[in-house]
Amino acid sequence: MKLDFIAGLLLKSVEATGAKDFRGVQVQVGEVLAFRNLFWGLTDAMARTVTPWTPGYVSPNLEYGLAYRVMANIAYTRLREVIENVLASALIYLPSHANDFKVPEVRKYLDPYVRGSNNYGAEERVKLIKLMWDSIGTEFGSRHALYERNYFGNHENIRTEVIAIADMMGQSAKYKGFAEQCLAEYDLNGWTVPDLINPDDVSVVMGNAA
Amino acid sequence: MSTTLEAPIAATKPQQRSKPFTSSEYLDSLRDGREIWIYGERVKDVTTHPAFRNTVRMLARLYDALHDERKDIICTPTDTGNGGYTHKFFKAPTSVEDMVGGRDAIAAWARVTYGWMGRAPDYKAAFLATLGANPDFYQPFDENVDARGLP
Repeated sequence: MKLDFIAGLLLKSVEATGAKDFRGVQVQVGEVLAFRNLFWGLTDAMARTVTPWTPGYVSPNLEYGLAYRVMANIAYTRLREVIENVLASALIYLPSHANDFKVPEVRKYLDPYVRGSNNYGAEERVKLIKLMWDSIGTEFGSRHALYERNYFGNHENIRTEVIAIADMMGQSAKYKGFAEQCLAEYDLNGWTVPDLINPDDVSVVMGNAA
Repeated sequence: MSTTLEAPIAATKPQQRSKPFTSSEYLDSLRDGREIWIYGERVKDVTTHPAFRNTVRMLARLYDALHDERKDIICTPTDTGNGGYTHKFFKAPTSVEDMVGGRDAIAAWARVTYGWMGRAPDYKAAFLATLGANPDFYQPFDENVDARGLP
């Protein structure tokens, strides 16, 4: 839900800065939306392809849950990077307080010089970008970033445990077996399977070593 | 702010309650003399202290959501026989329907705080819902976690 919120802020922020139509910005905003969809998709997969648990009970799909942990560690860091890339100095030049807008001497400069693109007025733009900065950059936003980075466990264990579980559930053996199936289809003398044809007739090296 | 002459709700026996807290019951329950410190000073009342009052009110909104039109998405009947209900994620899941219902309830509740309340009360449901479903895990203390063993 936090990604929905930040995605909404980002889509509005690039409207306000006027950068939304640049292809490079669209590339990165698209990536943020893809992460949002990835995590919702993973919760769907966790909930809908359940793992049998104790008799009569089910638990969320373990492998997809473990994948969520690793992707969350990667995604939130990337998300902040994208936001700082595409909004850049818009996150910097903000008035110090709402009171600045209430003083005519300052307001007369804020209205023309801090106004946004796409009909975002100065007050609307500052309100929006300050909420975004609070989400990713202030003491509050930074604490959340640290929290998201470590929430599911330290950055090493969340990864190594994927291997441990794959070993335990027999998935590692299955994946290795799949690779071995391909390796078994050929040897030093060429194909070992009956349906594939050795290139003896077209190769300048095959058959000359003996 | 509501006032009450009876004992705080949190002090009543859980078996006597069949409905989750309302937001005002929740706020009342926090006015129990709990020991909270900030800036080197004891906080008298988290519901009015400037450092906590709005966080507490955002949590209170979570309780509102258990009683209004969001109730059907978030809540499910309990199996205690008292006609009560609770957040879906507190039910040990037996089906895909339960699991998706739990996910949707988590999402609906997260929406209340715009996704920013990292450890809302449903966070520990992931743990609590395992007690009845998998008491053997807690051996040799399994008798303590099996609800069927409670008086």
